[in-house]
Amino acid sequence: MAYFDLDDVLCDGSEVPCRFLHTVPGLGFLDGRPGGTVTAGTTLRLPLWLAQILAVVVAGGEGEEGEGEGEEGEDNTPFVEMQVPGALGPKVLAAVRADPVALDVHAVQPHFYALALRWCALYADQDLARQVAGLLLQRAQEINGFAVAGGAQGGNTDSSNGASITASSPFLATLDEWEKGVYRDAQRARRDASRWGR
Amino acid sequence: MSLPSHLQETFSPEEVQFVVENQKIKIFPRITTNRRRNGRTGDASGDDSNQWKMLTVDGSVLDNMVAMRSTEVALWLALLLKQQSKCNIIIPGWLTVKSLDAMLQFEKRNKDRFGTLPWDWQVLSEILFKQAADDFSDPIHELRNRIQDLKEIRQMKVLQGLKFMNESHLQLDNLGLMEINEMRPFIVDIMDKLREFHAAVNVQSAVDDDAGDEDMSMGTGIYSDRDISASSRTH
Amino acid sequence: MYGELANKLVIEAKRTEQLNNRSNQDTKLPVYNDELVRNILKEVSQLKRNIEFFAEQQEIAAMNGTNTDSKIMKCQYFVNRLCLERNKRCLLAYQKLRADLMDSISWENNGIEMMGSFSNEDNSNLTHQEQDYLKEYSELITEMKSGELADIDLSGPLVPPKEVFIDVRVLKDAGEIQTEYGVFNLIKDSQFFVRQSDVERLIQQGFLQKI
Repeated sequence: MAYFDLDDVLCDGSEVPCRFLHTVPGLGFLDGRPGGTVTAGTTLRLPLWLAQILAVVVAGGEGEEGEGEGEEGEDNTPFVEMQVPGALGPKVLAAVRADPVALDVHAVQPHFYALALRWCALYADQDLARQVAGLLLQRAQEINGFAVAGGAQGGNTDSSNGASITASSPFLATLDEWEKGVYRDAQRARRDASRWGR
Repeated sequence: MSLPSHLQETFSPEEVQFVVENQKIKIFPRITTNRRRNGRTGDASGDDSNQWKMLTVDGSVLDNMVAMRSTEVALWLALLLKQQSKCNIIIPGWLTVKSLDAMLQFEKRNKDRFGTLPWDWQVLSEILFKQAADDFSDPIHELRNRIQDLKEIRQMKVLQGLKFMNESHLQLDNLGLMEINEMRPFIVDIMDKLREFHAAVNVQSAVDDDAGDEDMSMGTGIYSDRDISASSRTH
Repeated sequence: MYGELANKLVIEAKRTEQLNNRSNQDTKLPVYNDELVRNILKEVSQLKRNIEFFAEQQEIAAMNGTNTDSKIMKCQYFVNRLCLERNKRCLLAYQKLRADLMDSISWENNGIEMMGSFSNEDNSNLTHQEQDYLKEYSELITEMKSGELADIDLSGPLVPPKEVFIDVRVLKDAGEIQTEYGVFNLIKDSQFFVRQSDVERLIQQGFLQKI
């Protein structure tokens, strides 16, 4: 969650479907209609950086944190209600259960784990956390396997072997951005180790 | 920043070797050294004592060397002396065909445990094979094969153990520094992310949950105790 | 939609980061995307005007005591404010990556020594401010290396030495060097047995070769 972290910035830009609970004029630009009004009940895809604040800020309250300090006992609803993004929806979760290694995580969402982590933190979603952690662990075995193989193979050649392995294995093309980093780190350490023995 | 990112994640094998070279090892010196200050050397090799002066050690160990009386010196120094044919290295007891065979038996019998090899077994054997080959009584190639077998069988167990990684702990009893070092980036990355997920949904109930997690790590090749996630970040 | 340009900028930065991760070569910086940055800044000024307007409206509404309006205006205010913050973060992340890469360049080139050899083509990718930054950061490194830390070669090789003494061959005449063990006259093609730490720098600079 570093402010300058590019992956974090990009993850923050992933879109989440949001239902407006209030009618707000002047926000039409969110929907490609500059100057227009967004009416209550409309569902729009908003970037996470916008959605996650609008979903917790209470329309009637003063404070920025949700939790009703509704002055004068009035409206405690937030501006929008976030809906589960497709990447974390039932279809994807079914695929996660079916075959973690076969799932093209990168196609589902390039920052899948980062997004899931946000969601878990926002909604204390134990179930989701457990499923994603399981997915992570199973895929990790596979990633490590490739790293070990790639490391041994890369002992001779100097660089860029990482790229050729990625090209040759469909699995490695399905890694999300974080997983790619794991693979890179693991493969590098394995390669250095196998080089040392020679 | 000045240290490349991959060296922040784990040690390079060369760094591991450097650390290992600081370990003590037993040698048989072939020469006798005397402090020059104490007067003339009775030894004929007056030239040698000039050379000793070039070594930047604090002195005592070198000065006490007596030919064919075993003594302990740092490995790097032993290798230097060896190079100049001024000593024989005493091969450690575990590095014989007999001991390695016994170790292999142990590794095969115990699916969920690692044999008690010294923490520097991989590095030390490699160095000695290369630089002190004539000090072994067993044939090097046979020893080499067994070291390779040990490496492979232990590696298999490590891979089995990784299936049971969790967010809190990992036991690495009897694994060597090189074995740990080459998987450290992977394990740290994975455990760190598991911990993040755990923390994200267990803000208040973190204490209660700890009890429930213990079973995850039992009966695996790698288990509990040292928090490598914490230690490797700060090395 | 606000923030889209900024997103483009971050994607560009991400690509730069990936390219530098992938290659073992020296750190490279692409051209500063001046146009995109300027357009994002334009958006930022627009958002700033919006925010000021909504803040004003809110005050007026508060005086009149009309609550529903203030709620709506708060939402409008928030949305604009968040768009502005997002743009700011993207711009900073872009610049931070470039700053980090410039730091790497400085270290790779051993501090200030690079500035002379740094050709115009190479730093045309940098803005004026970035060139200043690079220069000053390099100076900081040099200063640190010659100050209290002068005894440690901070930009020296990162591979631990295997031997204290090594054989070296002289590739280029380098004159006399003074070491603890006497004076060596480095004449091309001659060989010496020297302490590695005494000649580390000469090896790096290509005067000597380890054999």
